[in-house]
Amino acid sequence: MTPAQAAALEFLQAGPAASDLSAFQDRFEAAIRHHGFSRYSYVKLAEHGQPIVPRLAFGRGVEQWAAYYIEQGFGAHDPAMAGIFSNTRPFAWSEVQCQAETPEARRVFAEAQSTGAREGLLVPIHGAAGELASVLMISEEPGFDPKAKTTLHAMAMLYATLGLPLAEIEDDEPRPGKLTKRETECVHWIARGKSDWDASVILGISESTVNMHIERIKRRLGVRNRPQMIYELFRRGWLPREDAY
Amino acid sequence: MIHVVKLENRGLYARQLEEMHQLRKAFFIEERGWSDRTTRDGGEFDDLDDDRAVYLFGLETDGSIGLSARIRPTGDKSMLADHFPELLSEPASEVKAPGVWELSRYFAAPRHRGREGLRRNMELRTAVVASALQRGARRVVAVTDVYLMNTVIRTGWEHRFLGLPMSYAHGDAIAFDVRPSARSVESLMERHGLSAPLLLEIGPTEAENAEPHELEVLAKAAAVLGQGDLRILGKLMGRLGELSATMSDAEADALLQKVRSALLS
Repeated sequence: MTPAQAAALEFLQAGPAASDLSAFQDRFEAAIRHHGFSRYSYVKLAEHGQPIVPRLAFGRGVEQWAAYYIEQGFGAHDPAMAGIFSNTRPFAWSEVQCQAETPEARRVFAEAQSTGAREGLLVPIHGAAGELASVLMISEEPGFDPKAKTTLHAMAMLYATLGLPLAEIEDDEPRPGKLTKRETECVHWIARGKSDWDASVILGISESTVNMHIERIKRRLGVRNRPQMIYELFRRGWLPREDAY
Repeated sequence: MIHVVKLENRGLYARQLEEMHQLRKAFFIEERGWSDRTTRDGGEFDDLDDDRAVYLFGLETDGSIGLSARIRPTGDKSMLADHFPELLSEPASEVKAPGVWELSRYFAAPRHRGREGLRRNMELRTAVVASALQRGARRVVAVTDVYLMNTVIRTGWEHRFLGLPMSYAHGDAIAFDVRPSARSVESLMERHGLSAPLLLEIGPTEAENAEPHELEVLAKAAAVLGQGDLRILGKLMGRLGELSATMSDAEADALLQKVRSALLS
């Protein structure tokens, strides 16, 4: 097994144990750097099967480029964007650059390269309920070993699926000694018999984020299941009131 | 509810087993392009469809197949260990071992895909863990396409990826395992808002006068009604049956609607 393969296996098997987004991204970065990729992002592109204005959810080293890309409306001309909607497997910029037939499309690639990027690998992330996102990995080196594409695909799937709840959970408002704002919202719906999926649709966050909030509350209270959690919250006077949010 | 179909009760599910093989052909060969698979009698078969295979069915209200999966002990043969050992970072002998089962041929009919199908898919995936646990499994292994890794993760199984992914004839594959436990089943049921009972395992002689999907309704009623209530319900249904025997379908439907309205008001 090569060092790159060992790093990939380490990320696939031990990556999920990371306690926060920063540690998780450190592990992802350590694995993909073996293939020349140093910048990366997760961007939401569709919800419930409908395209949305692209939204950078998390990543490193791409914030400026993502904001510029969205502001300039590059998505309407970028052949890579069309590729994400129609593919389940990853593809490189160099594979779709030949489809940039208009001046606007060629400008997207020229401007990306002007930031120092030489190659990008795009991984479409299709959710079961019509969600679509993409993981973009950027290299400042001219190419990467195409044989590594399958491994990079798997690492990006893990990065996307576990990174989203870690990013969303950091976007919360702590209330020391009590439930946070998001925890309050999650408990409100779970106590009314909603599944994690139902609550996630209502709250506009991922199903995994709802689950992560509930599991954290259970751990904090030292209880085993959700009925015990509701009872313990009630006993402590922490159960959200109807008008809690 | 998910029906557990094993060697002993397959006679009760002859219609569903035939339909399952046909749907497997439609899904794996025609939709996903697995053209190298064995077909016979209009269905798809492989060498794991033997006496040791246990099928898990989610049935429609008319008894047809909505979702299906297969679990089977790996001791003698295994798709992962025999055909895809390169997906394992551990020796294949660890996978072909006592207490290890394999999940394969998972599919959902088109009406159970996407957002509408989430709950029933999660019910089937929870049933995989629950039924494997009942059979003494300490580990369930499986192969999935890399682009479906997010569905494996979001299920909430206690899972682990078993090695690096590899390209195969029809895509990119990766292996994973799931650790069954009572706690995991409880957690999955809570997480996905599933109600007990989850599994229906009908004995080979328990369904002489009813179809499996009809028994499912009875099992659901039994889960919420006491013995006395069930007895009354049985008598009522008997009387309704006698009445409806002399009626047209439309008249029977109207009567049932009338009873339903009266009860609900």
